[in-house]
Amino acid sequence: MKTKKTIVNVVSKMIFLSFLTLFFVKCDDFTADTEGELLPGNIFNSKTAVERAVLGVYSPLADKLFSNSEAYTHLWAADDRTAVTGANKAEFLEYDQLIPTDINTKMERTWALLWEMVGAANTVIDATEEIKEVFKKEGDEAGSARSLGEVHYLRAMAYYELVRTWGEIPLLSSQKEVTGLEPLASFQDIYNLIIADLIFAKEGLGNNSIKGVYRANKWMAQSLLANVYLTTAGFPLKNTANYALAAAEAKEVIDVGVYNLEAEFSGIMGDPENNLGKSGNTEAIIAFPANKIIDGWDAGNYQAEAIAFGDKTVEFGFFDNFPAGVRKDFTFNGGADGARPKYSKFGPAWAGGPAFDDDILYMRYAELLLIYAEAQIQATGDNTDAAALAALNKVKVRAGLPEVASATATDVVWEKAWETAGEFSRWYDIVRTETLDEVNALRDTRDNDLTPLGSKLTEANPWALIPANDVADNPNLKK
Amino acid sequence: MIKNLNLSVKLTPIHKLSLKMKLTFILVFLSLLNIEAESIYSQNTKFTLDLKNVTVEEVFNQIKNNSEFKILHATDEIDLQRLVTISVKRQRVEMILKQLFSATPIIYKIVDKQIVLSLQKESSIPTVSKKVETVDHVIAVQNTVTGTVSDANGPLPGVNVVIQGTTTGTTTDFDGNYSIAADKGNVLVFSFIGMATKSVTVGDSNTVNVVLAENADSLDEVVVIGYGKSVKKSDLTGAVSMVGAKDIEKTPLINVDQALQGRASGVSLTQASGAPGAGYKIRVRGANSITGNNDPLVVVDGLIDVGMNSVNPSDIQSISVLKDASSTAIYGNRGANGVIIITTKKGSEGKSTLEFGSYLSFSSPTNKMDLLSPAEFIEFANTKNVGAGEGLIGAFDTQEKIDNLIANSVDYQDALYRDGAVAQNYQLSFRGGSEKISYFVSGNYLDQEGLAINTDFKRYAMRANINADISDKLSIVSSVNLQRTKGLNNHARFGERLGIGGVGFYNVVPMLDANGNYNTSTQFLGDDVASVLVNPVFLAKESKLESIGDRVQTNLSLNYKLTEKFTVNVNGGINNAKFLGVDYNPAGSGIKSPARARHGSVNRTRWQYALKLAYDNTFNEKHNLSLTAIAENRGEQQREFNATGVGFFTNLEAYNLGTADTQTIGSSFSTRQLRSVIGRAIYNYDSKYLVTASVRHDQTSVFPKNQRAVFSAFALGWNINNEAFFNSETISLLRLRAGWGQTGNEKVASDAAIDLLRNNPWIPNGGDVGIPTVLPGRRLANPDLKWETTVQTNIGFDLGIINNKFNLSFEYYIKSTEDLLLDRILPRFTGKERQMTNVGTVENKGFDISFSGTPIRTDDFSWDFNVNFSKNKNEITQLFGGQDIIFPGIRFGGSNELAPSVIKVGESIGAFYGLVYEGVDAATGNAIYADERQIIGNPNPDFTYGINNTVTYKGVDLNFFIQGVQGNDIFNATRSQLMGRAGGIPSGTSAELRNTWTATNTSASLPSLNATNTKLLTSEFVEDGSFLRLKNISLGYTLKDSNALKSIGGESLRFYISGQNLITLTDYSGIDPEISTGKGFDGTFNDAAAGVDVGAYPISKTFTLGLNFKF
Repeated sequence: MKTKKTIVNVVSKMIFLSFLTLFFVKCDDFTADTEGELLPGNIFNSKTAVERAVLGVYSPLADKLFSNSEAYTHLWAADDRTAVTGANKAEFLEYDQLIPTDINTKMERTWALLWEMVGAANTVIDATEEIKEVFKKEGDEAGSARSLGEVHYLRAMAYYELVRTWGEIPLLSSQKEVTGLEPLASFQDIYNLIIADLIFAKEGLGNNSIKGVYRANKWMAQSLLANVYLTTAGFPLKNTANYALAAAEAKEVIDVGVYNLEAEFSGIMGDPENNLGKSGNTEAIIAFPANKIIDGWDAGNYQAEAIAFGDKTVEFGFFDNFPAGVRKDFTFNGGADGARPKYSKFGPAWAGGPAFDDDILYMRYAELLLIYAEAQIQATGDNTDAAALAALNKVKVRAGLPEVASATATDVVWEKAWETAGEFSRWYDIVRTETLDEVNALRDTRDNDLTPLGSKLTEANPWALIPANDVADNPNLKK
Repeated sequence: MIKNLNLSVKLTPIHKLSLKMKLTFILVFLSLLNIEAESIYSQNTKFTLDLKNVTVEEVFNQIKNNSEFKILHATDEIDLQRLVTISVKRQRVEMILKQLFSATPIIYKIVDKQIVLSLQKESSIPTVSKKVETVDHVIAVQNTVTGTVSDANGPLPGVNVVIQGTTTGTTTDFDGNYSIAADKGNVLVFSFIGMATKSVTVGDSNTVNVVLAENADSLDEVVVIGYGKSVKKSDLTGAVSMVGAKDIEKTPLINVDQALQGRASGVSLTQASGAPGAGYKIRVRGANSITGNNDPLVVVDGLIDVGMNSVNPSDIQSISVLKDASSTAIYGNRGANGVIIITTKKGSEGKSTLEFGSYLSFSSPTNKMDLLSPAEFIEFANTKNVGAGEGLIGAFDTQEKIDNLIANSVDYQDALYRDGAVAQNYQLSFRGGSEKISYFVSGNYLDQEGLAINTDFKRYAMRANINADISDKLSIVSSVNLQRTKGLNNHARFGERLGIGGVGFYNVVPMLDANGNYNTSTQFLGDDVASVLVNPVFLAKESKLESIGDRVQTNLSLNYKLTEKFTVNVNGGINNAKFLGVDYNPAGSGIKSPARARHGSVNRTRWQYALKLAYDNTFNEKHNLSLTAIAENRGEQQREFNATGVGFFTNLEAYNLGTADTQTIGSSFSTRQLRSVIGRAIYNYDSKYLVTASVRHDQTSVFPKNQRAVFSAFALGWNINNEAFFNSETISLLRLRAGWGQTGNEKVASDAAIDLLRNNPWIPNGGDVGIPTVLPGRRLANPDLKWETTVQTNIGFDLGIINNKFNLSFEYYIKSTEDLLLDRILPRFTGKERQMTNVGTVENKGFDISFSGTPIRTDDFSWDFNVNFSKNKNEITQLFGGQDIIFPGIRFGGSNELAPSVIKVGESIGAFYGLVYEGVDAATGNAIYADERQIIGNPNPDFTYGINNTVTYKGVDLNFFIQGVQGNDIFNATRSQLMGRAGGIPSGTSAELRNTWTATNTSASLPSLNATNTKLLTSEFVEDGSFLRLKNISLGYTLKDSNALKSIGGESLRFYISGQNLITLTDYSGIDPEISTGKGFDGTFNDAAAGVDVGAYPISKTFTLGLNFKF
């Protein structure tokens, strides 16, 4: 009995104490669940931290942003690409047939990744003063110019892709006051930011990439700037004065002599041994390493034509007009018996393995030579400009074609179509030179029968559709 | 006493038994054992009363209010207004009754927790003689029939015994004995309140012993309403569905959720996958949240937020589903999705019971898809390639190659699925108790083979529920539940891959290559036709995805009686779950993928403690008041660690990740807390006017600023049948109910409101190891995030007809969820992806009807039925800032296809949006679509229903249960893939392709194989998902009072044979209409992605043999 009483007594006290604890002690606010999380705030507090943030801006590039068949379906609107029939290629076909939708998920993804780069870059640029302080403290003032230069270069690249693809888009130069309701900016404003960023970058960046050959250096910024100037000289801005600026920028890079055409096409791409990071491919100016841990299907999608069921084949008309020679043999497989040829330039089928290990070449020296040749001819109005022809002929000679003594800008654009077939430039060249109708007129009936053209995309309105969700969220984006 | 389970004792009687019995015993020893039992309530409550000159009724009220006893009157002749004086100190109820009635003709009996009072009609035998003389003077008395009436617990006093068609009758005495003058051929009718009436024809024997069964439809059934409170069904004001052990026992269950399917109105359960051990998607009155969690809250014996399937189904005493806000509001947090309260079995004083049960089941797929034959497949693939201008496919360009492929073709559906996958379940339980301590202990082992080869689910469980009275005032209730589950290759997504592989992997690909290795992919056929699918047999056999879950759930509750009216309760519980996933995916389990292995662990602990003060009293005899105040704290901590290795030079599987070529690791921690103060009042006036009200103050750690919120609810009920003016022969019950309430929801990720940076590796040097980098987070912060509130109004009525032989309940509700916790998709140009916001409103409206009855109940034969019908309409009434539509971009399956599901104002969550398909252009073979996209389907059903019937004849019972869903649409993405339309499967395998447009068959219903304009997100793939299914049919035989049984100490033995999913009526063309997807590895369902078929693991058709043995 005594034990029982004791127990009862103890329990009564426990109950009383519990009351007290529950009601009177614990009435404060709970703290947030942030353990183990990276919190924003003053993260730019050391050189290492800045370095991590700068690399962060690069990181969307490793996320299949420039992969050939997972992202850029609008490039299928050009003549160097077509998709085989069947709805399993629906998202490619809608651009191939010039009838895009605003729910193309591959385009949505690309749109999002590019803006992710812009957002990341803006976050770093917003902290420009803090970053300068940090580098100053650590006695490395050139370091801050270099780090900020990389970020400005990456922001310019993202905006350049966005404006060439979607046309007028919002323009965010800071991440501080983003409302989600920003209006569309003008082409002029967008390109002004791109050009300003690249000028800032080329001045701050050094001649050599720091800690990794894929990172920005002065020549990469300048080559990109040359292309930007060339683009702004054409549709839609038509600032023809910029042809000369394009030629000047390109010339500077050519003259510095760090880049050269590879003697053989096989030295350019398709073989991991020729990766920029391995044997120092002399032709790669801007390249992205595709050796993120991706495997199987995903790896194949980086350069889809390189493996089974590529989403990219070539239109018959383009193939037939392609000048014969070593370049054509390198670029395509088959086509002789009337069956549709396939791209072979990107290398052999991926055999499988832990990581796809290849470069994605965004800009090659050959393309820079042709940018120069075209800009120089346009700027001088001289079809026999020696410097321009020298650049053009370098490309032709390697392709096994005879040198020419005279060339129009149009000739150079076609040379570029063949040289960079299946790469990233053809559609943008068609847009800026307003030649969509001409190019379509060259289409073969076999292609017209299989993938007849619609008319949602035109010379005057060649822009990809801004994803439906963004428009639904921000009616200002309605065009 | 627990009987000795001696093998020799059990085996002895086999020779004497019939074939049936022999089979039963063979089953026992073949399959070993599993168990169950009924509850006996403690009769140990002790009373201290000191009442002077009070009415008998007042004494009764004191008994009722201070115990779980209920008082039943078998007669109206008991004078409740008689004044008595009574004084007892800590005595059992018998002493009170003895004092009250010792000098009266009233006899009492305590049955379970019912006190039964009846009038002793003088002494039995003389009375009968007298009556015979006066009434039955025409018929000479030839016979006196005697016997004993009892129920499951022993002799039953006060039972009315009447000869059918006459007024001759008597009642049983205190020992349940009766004696009546009756002839051979007369029918004796035995009736007693709360018991099913029984009729027996007098035969040659003069002894008629009768056992009465409890009436299942009794209004005195108790309904568990949460936080330790039960109310009589007749005093219930809210909308609550009950499923009792009796309903559950008729079907062999793998998991608890199966028990609810089709049995509770307003509750929809969908079997999303046939993978072994897979859970169901449960929705109570529709989905409230667009992007949030809509799973109901599960409470097991007071432990809040427990995984439903962490309870062994055989341990369940009852399941209550609280549906309306007046009921759920007390649970606040996530109560808006409904609350499922599971009560497990308890021990009781008295006879110890040992029970074991076992079942053995054999399953095969419900359906097999009709596919193209190998020859047809080749023909169609070639036709398509030629049409695309690419000539014959290399692998199919000579007859010799074709013949060879056909000869080596494989029916992958047959190769993948077992015909007769075996599940075995064994259950053993002990229960009993002494005056002070009662116990229920059970153990369970389940091994369920999946339909697909090399898939399996195992469960090992043990539960101990122990209750003890430490003193008269202090008692302890404790429970411990231990469980280990082991799954092999039973992930839902893995199941989807197998499912689509079984029907989509080309049958012309031989199982093995020339070297005897698996053809892992269709690459064997060359680039032209190769698909993204992986050989499903290889995938199933060579993958090893193990998941091991260990759960420890403990709960301890102390009850202390401060006074007769005040009770204090302190309770605490810990629910710890450790999940270990060890996966090994061999090289080739993705196209060209290297071997990949993962080791991941999650350790989650939920804790809770609460202090509860309860006050129960009756004033002036008629005012019954019950007040509860609760202070409660709950919290959760979760730690995760995972490591992945890709590329192995040697096959070491997942237990040596260090040998991998590339290795990644990750870890995380999260925590959340909820602190609440809750009050509840339940009042009724004379069981006529009922009022329930509750208020709850919550504080959560999830929201930075707006942590606190108050939610309230109330409900009214009116038992019209208890009114004096109500006088109906037919209508025995009429009650009106109405309730209104708010429930809060904070079930978003614990860091949902905060802007966090993230890391993402980048490899600028081309090296193999990524450098962690810092990126802005994808989520925009929302410091103003606050509680989501669901407001629900419920009105209903209950109707009982002819002594509640038939019961009808009807409820209508409107549920509106405001300040919706919506994971808003931001315009991506902001650089951010999502923001958790409080925007939008979702409304659910509908009604639940439940109709049950016992049309026939005679001595030997009875028929019970229960029909339920639920209709719910879900509608999004408002979105962010006047936005009209959101494309959530949900993707599925191996080929990563997009779902047509959208969020659109005026439509249901997850409605399908796309182009209307208008057929085939006969001239070109192209498809024709309407110009504009529009709503093309709704995955939510118009209504669902369940029909449950139990027929018993003597020892035989037959149960059949039909479940139906009507008016839902399914987007059959599998169909588009199998027709070669969707990404990654360029050549179709579907038999439907026979109906493809060709130049010679221009009236065909499917577009040409080379149509250039076909789209995926169109109405062409939207199908009616309605179905009616014979969910369960079982035939059982129960043996009781058999000498053979007694000789081995047995009390009863039931053995049964049952079949599940035997018949399905549907127009749906896919593998199974009961399909839903969007279930991630985290186990939650995404309602925005409901009704999309992406290749499910098939549901099984099952035959089961089982037995339950009680000692």
